[in-house]
Amino acid sequence: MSSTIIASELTIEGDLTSEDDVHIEGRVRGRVTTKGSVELGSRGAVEADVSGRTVSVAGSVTANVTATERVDLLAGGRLVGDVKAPRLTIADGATFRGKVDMGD
Amino acid sequence: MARVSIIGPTSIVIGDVTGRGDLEIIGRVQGDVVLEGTVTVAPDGVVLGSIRAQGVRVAGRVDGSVVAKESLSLQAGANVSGDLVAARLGIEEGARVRGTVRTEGGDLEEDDDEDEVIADQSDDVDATPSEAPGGHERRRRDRRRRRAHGGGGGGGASPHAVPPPPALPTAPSVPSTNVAPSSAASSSASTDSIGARSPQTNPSGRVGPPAPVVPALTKGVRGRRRPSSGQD
Repeated sequence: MSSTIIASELTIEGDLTSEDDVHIEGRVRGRVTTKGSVELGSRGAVEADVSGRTVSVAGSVTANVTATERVDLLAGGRLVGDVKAPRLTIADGATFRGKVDMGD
Repeated sequence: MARVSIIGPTSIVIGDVTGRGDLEIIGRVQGDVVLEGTVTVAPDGVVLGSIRAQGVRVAGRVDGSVVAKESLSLQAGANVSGDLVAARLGIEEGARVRGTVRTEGGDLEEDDDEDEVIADQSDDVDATPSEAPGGHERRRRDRRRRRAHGGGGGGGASPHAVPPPPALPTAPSVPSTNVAPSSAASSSASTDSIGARSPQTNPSGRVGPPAPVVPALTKGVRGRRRPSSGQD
């Protein structure tokens, strides 16, 4: 159970920051920053940078994604932007265009 | 798919929130909320901006106006600095309001001066702790009954009357804090029964002009910031 949920027909025109998990099925037209995980559901969309401990993308991100642990781009997910994370998985059927930085 | 959104306790939204569905704000929103659904501001929730929705329930803090197309309820502990507009309105004991209050869209009563309140409801000794949001209506009926009995004896001395609420219908401004409950109740009682109880002498049918706006209280949104980047 995420502590913050943006449901499918909700739009945030601005930035969202949190200390806990964030689940997005709606649209965020601004940055998403949390110390917890970010789960972007299949209908979710974020149009600015996303950062969290872990980030999983089944929806659409049009910006850079940064995670301190891992980024998972799931089937059907779409990511246009750069990824910076020590671990990255890209599922079959995902769309990705951008650079990857997995550190040293 | 559930359409319930939650701004969690550690979450901060800087910007506007729009859309459909229900929204529970336990954290903080610095921006306006416009929703087709019900907005709930939890006891620790903060909205620095206005809220417009079908239904609104506030137990936390709102610095901005609140407009509910259907029902608006302020629960104990709520703190609203801004105007309230709703078809149905309930204000519980322990809720604080600084702003004008208007019910519209429902069945409006003729004495709409009663609806303009600049008062600290937490000083309201009339309400009982178990009172439901409908208590506001009951208080208004009580006051009308007192008027029918000759305006009361000042200080709520009539045997059946409980002390009247500190509504102060025409006071230009009210100190927003630090009003001792007992003195507020008694002073407003005398104002209530002497000064403001003669609407029939006024040809316009209203008691004086609308309560003057208090600049510091209706300035709107304090400390609000718009996102400066990340937009289209």
